Amino acid sequence: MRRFLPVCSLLVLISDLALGVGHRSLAVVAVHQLQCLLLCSGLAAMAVGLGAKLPNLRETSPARIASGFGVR
Amino acid sequence: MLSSIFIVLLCLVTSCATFAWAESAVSSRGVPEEPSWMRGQFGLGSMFLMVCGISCGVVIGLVATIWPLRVGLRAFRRLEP
Repeated sequence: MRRFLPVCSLLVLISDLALGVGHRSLAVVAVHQLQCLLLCSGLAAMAVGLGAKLPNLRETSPARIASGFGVR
Repeated sequence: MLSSIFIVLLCLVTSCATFAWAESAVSSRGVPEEPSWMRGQFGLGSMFLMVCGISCGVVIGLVATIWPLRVGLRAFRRLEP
């Protein structure tokens, strides 16, 4: 998440600036950045936590079990 | 499924209130109009509702971050001998 969050935030910021949202209201740009942060952290935490709680034991490689996203 | 629900919920809660605030007559044109039924009943477009929406979004994000990590940590500890 640490590597991809700045890239995502930058993409959202560039999109907002390209669409002219910044000219209209900077608060909306700030809310978009906050949403990006919350979404990234929440999704990463869910992938890690629920992947640990519900491991996919049908995988053949133990490394894949440890690093996977769990049972679908 | 759970991640989809989280995304939709977070985006709805923050975006609806912020969009209503951004589109409201006072913030966009500087001239207050007569309040509509929605604005009168629910305060749609008000700063208060936007702050409430963003706060709810922050709470949802924090719960979605902390709760799965705690669940995963407990599962890891149960695996240890």
